[in-house]
This record gives sequence, structure tokens and C-alpha cells, in this order.
Amino acid sequence: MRLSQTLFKHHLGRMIKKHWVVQGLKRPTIMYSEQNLEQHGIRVVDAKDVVNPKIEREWINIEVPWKTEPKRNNTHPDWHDRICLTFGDTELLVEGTSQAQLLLKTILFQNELPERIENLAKDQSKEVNDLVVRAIRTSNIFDAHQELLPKKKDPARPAYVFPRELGLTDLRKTNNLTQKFLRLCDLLSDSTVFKNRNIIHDSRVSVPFEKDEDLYQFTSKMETMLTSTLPLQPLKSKNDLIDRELPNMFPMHHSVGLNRSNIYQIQDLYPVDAKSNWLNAHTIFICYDVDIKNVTELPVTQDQIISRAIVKAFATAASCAKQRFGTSVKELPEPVTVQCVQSNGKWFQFLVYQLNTLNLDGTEGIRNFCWTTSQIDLFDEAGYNIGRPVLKGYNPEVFKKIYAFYNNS
Amino acid sequence: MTRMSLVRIKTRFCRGFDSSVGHIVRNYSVPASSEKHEKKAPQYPPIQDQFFKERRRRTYEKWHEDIKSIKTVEEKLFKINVPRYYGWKSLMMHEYQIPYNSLDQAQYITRTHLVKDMKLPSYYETLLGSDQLDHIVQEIRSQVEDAIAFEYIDRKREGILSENEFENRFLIDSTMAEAVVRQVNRILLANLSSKYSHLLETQVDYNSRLEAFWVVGGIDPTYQVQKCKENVPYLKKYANDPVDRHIQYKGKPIAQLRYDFPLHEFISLSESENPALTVPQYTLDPRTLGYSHEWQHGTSIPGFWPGDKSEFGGLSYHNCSYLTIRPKEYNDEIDALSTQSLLASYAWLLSQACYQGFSTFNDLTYPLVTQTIITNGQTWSFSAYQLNTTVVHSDHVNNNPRRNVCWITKPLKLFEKVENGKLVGFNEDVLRYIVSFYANAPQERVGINMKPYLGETENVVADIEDPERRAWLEKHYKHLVSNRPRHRLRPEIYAWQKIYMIDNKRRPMEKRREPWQFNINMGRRRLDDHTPEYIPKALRPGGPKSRKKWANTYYP
Repeated sequence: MRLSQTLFKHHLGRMIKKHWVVQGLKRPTIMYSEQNLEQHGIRVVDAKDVVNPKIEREWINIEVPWKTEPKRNNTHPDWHDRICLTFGDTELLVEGTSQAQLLLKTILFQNELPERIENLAKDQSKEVNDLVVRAIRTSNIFDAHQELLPKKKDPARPAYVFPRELGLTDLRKTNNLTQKFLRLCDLLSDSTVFKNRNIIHDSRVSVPFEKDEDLYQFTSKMETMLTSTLPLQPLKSKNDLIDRELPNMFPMHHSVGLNRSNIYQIQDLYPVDAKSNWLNAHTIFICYDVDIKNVTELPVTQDQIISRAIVKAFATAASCAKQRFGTSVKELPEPVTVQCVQSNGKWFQFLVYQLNTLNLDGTEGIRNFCWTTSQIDLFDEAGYNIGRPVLKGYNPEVFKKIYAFYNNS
Repeated sequence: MTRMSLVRIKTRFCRGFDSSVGHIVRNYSVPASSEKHEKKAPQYPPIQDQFFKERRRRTYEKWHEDIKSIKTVEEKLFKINVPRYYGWKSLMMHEYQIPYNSLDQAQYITRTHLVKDMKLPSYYETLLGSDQLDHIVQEIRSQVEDAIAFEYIDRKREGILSENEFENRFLIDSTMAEAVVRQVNRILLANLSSKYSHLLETQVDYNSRLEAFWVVGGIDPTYQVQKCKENVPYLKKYANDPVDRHIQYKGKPIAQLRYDFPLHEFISLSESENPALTVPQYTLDPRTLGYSHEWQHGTSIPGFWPGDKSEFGGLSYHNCSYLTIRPKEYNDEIDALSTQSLLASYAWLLSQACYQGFSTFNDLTYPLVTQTIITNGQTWSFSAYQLNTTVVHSDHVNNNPRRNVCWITKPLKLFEKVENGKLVGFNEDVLRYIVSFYANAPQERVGINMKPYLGETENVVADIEDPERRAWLEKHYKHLVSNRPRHRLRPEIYAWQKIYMIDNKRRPMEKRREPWQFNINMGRRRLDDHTPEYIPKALRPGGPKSRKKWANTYYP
């Protein structure tokens, strides 16, 4: 029996109710005794006041031994008068890439990767592709995890409730694929390359910065992060394309849709110590989950998904730069480059970010660069179809690009 | 032969006669004389013991034979669960909850002999020459040292762990264990894959799902069971007989390495029948140790669904950070580690054996082997396990000649401490153990039928030709093993009902609604005892007017 269940199976409620009904129908007879007594000069006092006189007690504040959540107002210990605009793991930029470009003073090269990486992406042998196919089958079909999947909704009939499914979440699939692909890269690459790389799981970066007199703080959690002993070489000179115009978002401001709050902690976080050999962020692997939605409930656009990766790559590059050159650095002595792979376990999106400056004021001066591809499907279908495990339409392009990213130095 | 009634007499007029007077029968077409009078020896069926216990044993045996004859893995695992709609009342064993003094019990329920000399089998000495081993260890030592130092010193976890969590030794230890295992596994695989081809194709799973279900006999009956039996005349003499318990194990390995072929056996099956391999007796109710029961369907899952090519385990890493919060007064670290590794190895091998067509009722025809490492990042213990038998139900738990064998080492420290950004007192012996575990190559067992109890063409549900049956089995098997709670709770006798309806009959006029009022034992409800899925008229295969109202079910 559930403890929370209140049971009135065996009770006399009906009797008691009836009793009250019967008693409630009685009319008290008015005897005028109070008036009569007062006429005779006898004071009438309520018997309750004589029996239970009111006692005034002092209010004692007791300090509880457990921590209570402070109120979210100006008494909060993290309260600041200055508003901070934050971007976390479950948020999206309203205006997508154009907002990211303005916010981060970045020139975007869409649907292309730098030439050096394209040259590294070579066709893999049949044996390697077989191993990749096997990795996909193991991670997306045969993994026996069963977790609650997100609720399904049909926009045509929004009130319809689908049965809640159990299976592999996008996060689990992405993590499986990432670790299997990185293992293959470890095996296929030269031993010196392998020794220069290190894999970090579950890390977080946080980078506060100022732009046009506003305070911003971007935080990002990476499921997997590849670090290297040597920093990635810049892909373009930082003084290039100084006169290229950034997109115009007028009448929107570049901070539109960001979370504004007075309660925040300014933190510079980077998952690796400054003295470490494997200090430099090389590639970050992030997962795009279905739970990441617009606050406005509008459908998420591809442009917004790309902009999310841009912001995360920027946050990683900026915190790496601060770790390398000091937290107050504005003009970087040398550009910091970070690669980013975003996936939901089916499609992959590749991005390279070159951070040239942390001086993000205005739209003039040195700009940062970013190259992205669109979403590339790893396969058309992977899962059980009428009781049979099926993998259809494997695309070798994805692993080629991951291998090129891994070997880029 | 034709039978015909010539006269019909009402029986009530013939009270005084024999009861056969009802029909007068005349047989026609009977030959006057048969040509041959051969005297054949009559063929009688074997005389069977008709006592209750023997009849019940035969019923169970038939059920076990039925499970054996099923062709696919999923259906076999399904069949074990069919007798119970609300699941088996199972003893829940979670990997990181190891009660005090539970080693004997763990050995008894898995029929495992634990080798006492705290050494691995001699097989490992012949596996690699000492020169070769030293060479490999020297090659990777600096890499491993650097990687572990990186995890302990250079890696910053602010933002992932909160301030309170940094003070939680248990959480810190398990985080470090996972991080170190990932680093060590990565370095070993990358360095050894060129030398050992089996490592190239191995599948590495992190945080995979490990579950195993088996039945153990020989447990003392509880007071209630004894009393129940004493109240039934024909059960009275069996009141003190030992009973079976269903056991459900749930593990959380950090990482598992799987191969296409099994590892080489340490001892042969005939050697496992040696009576010198002693197994302690522990027949007390497992609840005396602190375990508890839950109703759930028995699940055996070695981390992947049936059908994956790499179906033999090679090596699994487990976490021992629970030792930090274990009361110091227990002082039984080695026993706890032995119990953990023994149960984890048995559970993994049993679930692998289930995927080969064996089960807790159908015994192995060849041994299976696995290797287990338990660590918290700094302290490492290594164990090897050989599964020779899976049958421990009813009296097999004492009479089965085969025993499983477990070898385990003492916990060894990989390094003494971390000082000035470096590891102090790095122990190469630990690395030697790790390397020899990775170098232990799986081999194809030539001449042995690996799946004797599975179909020749149908091994798993995906091989079934009929699409409807295949899809039904796939969907319902996954639903079963997810152990999702049922929409309606399991009916029971509530406390108020016991007081006011059974013990004191205060509500005699009330309508009877509960199953127990009709003498229905809901604990005995079968899995297939439900209304089948309704097919709406518009979706009926024979058109809306067809009588096919209920969808097919394919319970094995």
C-alpha cells in the first residue's frame, strides 16, 4: 500500500456528518440573560478568557543546521548591481549566426573548412570503414541502455499523448560514437601524434568578458575534449579581412535573448592547469540534445544550432587563451584555434574557430574567424526496424573529417 | 468398432443393479477368430513416482527442457519470465552494496571456489616471457605515469563538482577511478594494438548495463513458509525442506572490453569436478545479511543486445570507491573486494552464457573465462574467473559436481602518493598485471559447438522469418527487460482489509471486489494472462467487418 495514499475505507464519517446535520438544525433559544445580568450591574466575562488567559510569548529565531536557499533578491550573496548576460548549455541565440558574428566580432565562412584540414581529410581504407560501421552498430543499435526518452509531440495534434519510449538518449549515442571514433584515431595515427593528445571527459569552461560596456559570461560543458601539447597553428593571418563588414541586425541588439541576471558568480574556468603539458584545447565534442529549445517555443533552426557551436568554441578558445596568456589579456600575442564537433548521434557538424582578439568592442579592428560545415549525416537509419537491426546509408565523410581534425596540429 | 445401444433403461429404475446398467451394448464386426495369435510383450510406460515432490520435480524439468528447446536467445530469456505477470520475487544484489561477512554467501549462491593463495592462475606465467613483458612495461610506463599525474594534478574539476562534492571522498574516488581507467585503457590499447590483433577489433563500452538473473536452491525456508506448509496436510512433511531463491544482480562496470572469441580456459571442465575445490555452505536466508527482495522480471544483459558480434567478455573494470564509506570497524577490505569481483565476474559470464543459449536451468557445455580489475585509481586488485557451471537451482547447488573458480590478487598500490607534481613509488608490478590481462588473446574454440541449444539458422529474434512474430518479440522483449512499472499496481491485501475484513468480519454486506476474496492468488498470474491488444475496425487486415478483433501474441 502506498504510504501517501489516504484511506477512508473504514470510517464513521457518514455518521458524524449526519450528527452534525442534526445538531446544526437545532435553534438555540435566546434567554436574554446577558442583558438581565447587566441590568443588575453584573459584568459578563467570556469563560474562555478566564480559563485560558492569553499569554504573550517571545518569538525565537532558531538557526537550522541545514543550508537553505537564499532568496533571489538583493540580499542574495551573489547579488551584483551590474547586470550580467549569460549563455549556458541549454540556451540558443535568437538570431543565430548573424547574432554570434556580431556578438563575438567573428567573420564566418559557411559550408567550408580551412584548406589545411581539407587536405588532411583522406579517404580511409575499407577495413577502417568496416571498423567505423561496427562502431556505429555497437553504439547506436546494440547498446543495451534503456533510459526514458524525451516526450514525443505531433504538431498537427498537440494534445495527443504518445506512449513514452525507453531507449538510447542522444547524449549516450554521441558519447559512444565519440569515444569509439577517438579510439580509432588513436590507433590509426602516428604514435607521436597519439602521445601529444589527451582526452578529457566531462569538463566545463567559463569565460567572463566585456563588450560595449556590457558584462557577459559564457559557460559551456563539454562531454569530451581533446587537448594537445602544442597549440594549433593559426589558419589565417589575424590582420586579414579587416575591412569585411559584419552582418547588420538592426533594429535588434546583439545581446537580444541572452539571459540577464543580477545574481551570478564571475568565474574563469578551464579544465586544465596552466602548468600542464596538455594545456591547449584542440577539439571539443559537444552534444546537441532535443531538450535544447527556444524560450519562445518556436522551432529551432539550423542556423541557431550552428551559432550554438560557435559560442561554445569561442568560450573554449577564450578560456584557453586566458589560461595561457593571463586572465586580463585583451590583444592576444598569437591566435588561439579550437576545433569543434557537434553531434546528436546521427548528424555531425564541424567547426574551426580562430580567436584573434578578445577585444570585442565595436565592429571595427581585428576580427575572429570561424569556418563551419552544415550538418552531415553519419547514416540514414540506424536502429531496429521490424525486429531487425538495420544500418542504412553510411557516410564515410564524417570519420574522414574527425580523423583530419585529430591529426591537425 | 461400432457401439450401439439397443435398449435404453433409465438408471433410476435400477438402483439395486450394477451402475453399468445404462446401456446394453452389442459389438458388431468383430472377427469370429483372428488368424494370428502372436504374443507380443506389452509396452508399458515407465513407472513414475507419483508422490507430490517427484511430480513437481518432473514439472520443473519439463519446463527446463522447454527452455532448452527454444531456438532464439531472447525467447529463452522471455520464457523464464512467463510464469509471473508481476515478475519474480527476486533478491536484489547491487554491485556497490556489499554487506558485512557476505563472501561465503556469494560463493555458495554462485558455486564458486575461491583460490586462497591470492595469486592469478599459472596460465599467466606462460602467456608472456618476462623479457617481453618488461619491454612492454618500460615502453608504456612513462606514458601511464604522465597520464595519471595529469588526472591527479593538472586536471581541474571546478564547475563539474560543487564545493560540497569536493569534500565527498566517495564521489571524488569514483571520479578519479573512472578518469584513470579511461587513461590507462587508452594508452594500453593504442600501444598494444599493433602487437596484438585482437585488441584492434575489441569493443570498449563505458558505463554499460550489466544484469544477471539466476535461481539458487538449498536456502532455509522462512518461518512463514514453514507454517504455510504445515497447515496443508500433504505438504506437512516437506515443511523444513530447503527452498529456491531468485537472484537479480545489477552491476555498473566502468569499462568493458569484448572480443569475438572467448578467452582460453584455465582448467578443463573435468578438473572443475575435483572435490578439493571446496565451496562453503551458507543456507541462511540472504535477508539475514541485509539484502532485500523486489518484484521484478529476471533480466540477463551483459551490456549489449543479442546479435552483436563481439559477444565474449575479455576484461572489465570496476570501481571500489564504496570502500571509503564502508565502516572502518568492518576491517574486511579483501573480503569485500573478493565478493565484488566474484559476483561481477559470475554475473557477466552468466549473462554471456545466456546469449550462447545456456541459462540457469541448462548447463554450459564448455567453460567461459573473464578477467576483472577493481580500482579506485590508486589501489588495484586483479581477478580471473572461470565459469564451469550455471546450474545451482534446487538440489544442484549441493550435488552439482562442477564448481566455478575465482582467482584474486591482493589489492596493490599503483603509486604511493602524488608529490610535487609527480607520482611517488610507482609500482611496475601493477602495470605487469594490466599488460598480461590485455595480452591474453581470445581464441576460437575449434571443434566445439558454441551454441548447442540455439537454432542452426535462428540464433536471435532478428533471424526469425515471420515479420509479425519477429517485431512482436523484439518489442515485447525490450519492454519486459526494461522492468517498467505496470500501469496498475500489484493487488495485495491492505492492512485495513486484514483487520476489518479477514480477522474481524466487520463488513459482511459489502460487495466482494478484491481477487483474494475469490481465492485468486495474484502472485501466480502468468505473463500471458491478459486481454490481447484490440485491433480497431479500420485497421483490421480483413477489412472493418472481419471478426479478427484481437492482435496475435507470440509468448514463447
